[in-house]
Amino acid sequence: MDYKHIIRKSYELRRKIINIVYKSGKGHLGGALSCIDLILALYYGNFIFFEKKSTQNSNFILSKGHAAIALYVVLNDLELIDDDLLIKMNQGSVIGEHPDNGLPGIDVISGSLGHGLGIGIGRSIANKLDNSEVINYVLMGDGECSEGSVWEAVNFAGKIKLNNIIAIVDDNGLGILEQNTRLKPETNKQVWEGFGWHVVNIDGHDIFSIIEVLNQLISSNIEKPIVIIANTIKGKGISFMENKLEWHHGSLNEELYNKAIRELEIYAN
Amino acid sequence: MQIETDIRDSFFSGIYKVMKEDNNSVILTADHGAFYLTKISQDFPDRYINVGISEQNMVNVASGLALNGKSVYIYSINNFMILRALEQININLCAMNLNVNIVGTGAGFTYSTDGFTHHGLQDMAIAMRLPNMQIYNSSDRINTYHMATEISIKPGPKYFRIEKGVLDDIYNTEFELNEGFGAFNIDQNTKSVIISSGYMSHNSKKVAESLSSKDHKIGFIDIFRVKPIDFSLVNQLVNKIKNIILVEENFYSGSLGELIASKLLNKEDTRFLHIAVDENIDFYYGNRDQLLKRNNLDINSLNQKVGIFLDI
Repeated sequence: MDYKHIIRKSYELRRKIINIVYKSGKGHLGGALSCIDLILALYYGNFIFFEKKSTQNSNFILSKGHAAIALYVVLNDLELIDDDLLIKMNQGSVIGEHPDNGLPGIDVISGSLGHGLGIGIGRSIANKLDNSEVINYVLMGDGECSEGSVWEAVNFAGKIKLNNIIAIVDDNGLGILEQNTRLKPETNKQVWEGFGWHVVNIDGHDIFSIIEVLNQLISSNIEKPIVIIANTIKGKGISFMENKLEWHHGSLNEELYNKAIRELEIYAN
Repeated sequence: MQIETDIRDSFFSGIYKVMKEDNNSVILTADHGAFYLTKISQDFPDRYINVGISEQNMVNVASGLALNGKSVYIYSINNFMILRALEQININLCAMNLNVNIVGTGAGFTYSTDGFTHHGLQDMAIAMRLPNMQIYNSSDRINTYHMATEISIKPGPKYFRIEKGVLDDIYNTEFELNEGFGAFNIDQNTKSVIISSGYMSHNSKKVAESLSSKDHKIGFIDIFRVKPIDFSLVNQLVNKIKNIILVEENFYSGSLGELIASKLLNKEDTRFLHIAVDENIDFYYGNRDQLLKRNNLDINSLNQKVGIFLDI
């Protein structure tokens, strides 16, 4: 798939997110819109598989489970999740605000934060034991990185120099009530590096460069775990949601819905 | 079959055997040691990982390994897994129903001189609330070896509360262990039964034996599979028995006593005595028997309490 096509997807799927959240009544819009481009880059850059390979069904873990709608629309676009199923999200359906294992393309329950990285590390160790070349990708939020279990995992993977895991931090800067307590970007980089990780900072909405960076990282055989800290905007793509705390989780009335759809149509063209 | 005399060694010698036979098995420790674990680390270095003192991470890593088809053991002190990593266990092992065996030491007052942080008086009650979780409480080297070699290889999340040191044998190697409990001295003449689990089974068995007489026969049941318990089987054994006494080295609330009371006391004339540990935060240090005595769970105190209850 060419890059132009993927970028077009980023608007189409944002529109789908808005449609579903409008219909279902509520949703975690801010964090879904901040990470959808990262998920698109991973799936359409061919880094993620979603048919059984080695002993696993997928090599992607959405650790920030509240952004599930962003993953669902990609899995829907890839024809893993049916339209009928998706449209019933939150309305008497197996699809809700957080992902559960057993859904097509999803192996891990998420919704409580700080679990995914350790699980991904376990998978990567299993892949090594099985002499499999699989690389596992774990998408986390920057708010999630306040969880202590994240740093237990960071410490452990750095110690064993686990070189088949790539963590991606959707660094949108906003929590639920206020800005995340954040380290300066250079300090944050030093912290991860101090734990033995290879750190790359990127623009989390530049799908082209995300794919480039991932390809470079994979081909350079770095003998360390890798973290990509992606600078993103919460609510990205819809002006009245961008960088607004109140859109962490919200619902759309008809007026706001129409406004959001109009904006996305303008961008798409 | 040669079984180690130390209970913990009997468990890990069994795990050693499993790991030798199944190269899909992996063991993680949160920097918690055991004699046989050293041997496992030397003979299977790729499948032994010390994750460091990070129990939440250990559970998460174990779930990742198990998701990829590994059969996983994780090892630390009971409280530090069940209490500290409870949510990781609840979601990533239990809700996802993965093949991870939680192996812990520190049941009851095992770590008698280490204080409240190490006393396992709540972990069993808490673990009993976890969906899909199976719980085993070791009481002698024979059922413990059986847990390692026969039970741990079965599917699903399991919690093994392992004793350490040398304790008397309750079972012999011919004993049928699949029912999850052992019943002794129970027939149509049995008037009372003491039900217990783990280390307390030893005190309870002695009390049952010393108070039992021709006129008042007292039986004894050791429950080593705490979850699930086959209550239809237990009920068959005790439904003619008037007095049921439940002794446990746990806080009163939420543990075996409440479960037994809710499942077995459906007959009007059954009398029930529950003996457990009061919910005191007690900064008192000594050996295990000293702590049991302070909590009226030593043999003398039990003899007295049970004697009064049964009026013998």
